[in-house]
Amino acid sequence: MLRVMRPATQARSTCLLISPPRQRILQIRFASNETAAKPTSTTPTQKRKFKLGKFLFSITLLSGLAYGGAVYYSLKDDKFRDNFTENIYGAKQVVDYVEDLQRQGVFYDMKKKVWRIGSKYINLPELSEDNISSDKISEFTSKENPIIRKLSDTIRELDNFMVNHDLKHAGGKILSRARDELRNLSNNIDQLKADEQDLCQKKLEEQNEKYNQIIDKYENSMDQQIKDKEFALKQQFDQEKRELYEQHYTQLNAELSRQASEHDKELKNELVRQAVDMQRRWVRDVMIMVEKERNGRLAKLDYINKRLKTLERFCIDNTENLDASIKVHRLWCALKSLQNIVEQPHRTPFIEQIVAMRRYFSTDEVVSAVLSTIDDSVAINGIDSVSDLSKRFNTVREEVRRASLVPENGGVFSHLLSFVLSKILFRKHGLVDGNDVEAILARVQYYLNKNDLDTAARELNQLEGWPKKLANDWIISARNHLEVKQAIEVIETQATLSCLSIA
Amino acid sequence: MSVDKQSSEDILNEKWDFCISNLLVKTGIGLSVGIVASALIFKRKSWPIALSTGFGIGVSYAECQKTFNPTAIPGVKIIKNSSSTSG
Repeated sequence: MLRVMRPATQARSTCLLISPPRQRILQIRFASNETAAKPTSTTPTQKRKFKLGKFLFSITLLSGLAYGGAVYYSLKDDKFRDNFTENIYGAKQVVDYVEDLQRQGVFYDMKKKVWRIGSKYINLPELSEDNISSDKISEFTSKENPIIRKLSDTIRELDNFMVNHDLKHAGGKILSRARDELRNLSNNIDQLKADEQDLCQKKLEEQNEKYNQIIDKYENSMDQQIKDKEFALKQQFDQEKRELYEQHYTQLNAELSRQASEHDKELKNELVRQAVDMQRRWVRDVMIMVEKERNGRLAKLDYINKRLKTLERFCIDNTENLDASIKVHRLWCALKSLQNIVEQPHRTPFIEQIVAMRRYFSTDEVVSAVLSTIDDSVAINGIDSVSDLSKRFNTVREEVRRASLVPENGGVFSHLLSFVLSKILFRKHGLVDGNDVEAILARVQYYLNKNDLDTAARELNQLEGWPKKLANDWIISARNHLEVKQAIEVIETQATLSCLSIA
Repeated sequence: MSVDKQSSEDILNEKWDFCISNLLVKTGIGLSVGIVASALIFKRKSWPIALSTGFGIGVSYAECQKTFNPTAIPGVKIIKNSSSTSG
């Protein structure tokens, strides 16, 4: 633009040197030039519109063309092919596919078609015909022999390969030679096959003849053997039948004779029985007659005998009953005296009663067992009454209280401490819960007030340690008392039972 | 009869009787021995009396302890394991 302007300014400066009318014309011309130059200076500053579709389409087309060109070149050049297939994605599959198509001769067919169509319109040079057409080779593919087929395939592949790599002229002769040799080979094979077949056929017929002869011979011998066997079997059968018949006849005879003897025996038995029966009847009849004659004296004697026997039995029974009742009475007396003694307010020995009872009732198991449970020492000393025990319990309670705080292995000081501190312990009354000494003592007192010695003794037994040691004697005494009472109860029930069983 | 016509509730009382009587006797003996020793050997000092009395009280205490807890032998501890070690 500046350049445009410069010559204009230069022109204007020069036209000043020229005559004024020419000057004016030149000025007008340059002025219009300037104005013409001005509109073009504005367009470069405008932005061009950006078309996306067109851009993408052109990019795709260019890259496709580049890809196709690269594939074609890789078919020709091995080094380029390696590079291409290694570095570009999907190149290997495409190149392999194209090579397959080439091997199958697709391109060659297409080329021929195009050439044919094209030669109609334009004068195209003829396609080189000195490659072996696939028809010639295909005559071998129809042969059955798989080896020849494979060989023909290989030769055809080789041909294609050579065509593709433009090695036609070099190997054409060699290839035709191969083709001839292949043909010879196939003919040879066919010939061999035919010969072998004839030979086999002849051999088979010979064998057939031989075997037929052998079979006939054997058939005859078999027939003869069968006939002989039949005759022998028939003989055997007749003989067996005869033997069976004889056996059966003898068996029958034996059976008959046995049965006859048995029958005889039966009859004899029957006879004997009848005889015995008749004898008995005879004897009875005789007795009856004699009886009648003696006015039935025999029967009377018998009668008296029987009565006597019954009387004897009665007598014996009576005496037995009396004995038993005496025994029971004695038991009752002894029991009563024992009970009396036990109920005494103070300790009284009852050893004599026990001894007497033992003597009387050595036969009675229950009583003797019960009496054996009572210790002799207890019997000699007697047992304490409940009131005695209650009174004794008071002292026991005080002692237990004093020793209630002593630990398991306490020494002098622990005893002393317990003695002193127990004075300030609270006293419990009534039926209280708890396992401590005071509670137990309260409960025992409660039970003693109700005269329940059993539960009281049980409760006191729950003490532990020193308190238990102190209360031990009392517990033993209470136990003796309870045992003796229990024994007396058992004997009482036993006595009642024997009383009732007599009556 | 386990304890000579003595009922079980009197065990402790007996023991206490024995203890107190023992104490009196042993203390008395200790005192007298102390007085004699102090008079004869120790030149009328006062400390042997006290020492001897102390011995007497100590001996009576030991015997008392023995009656109340016969298993407390000095230097022996009973481990409750259904097997006792003693002696």
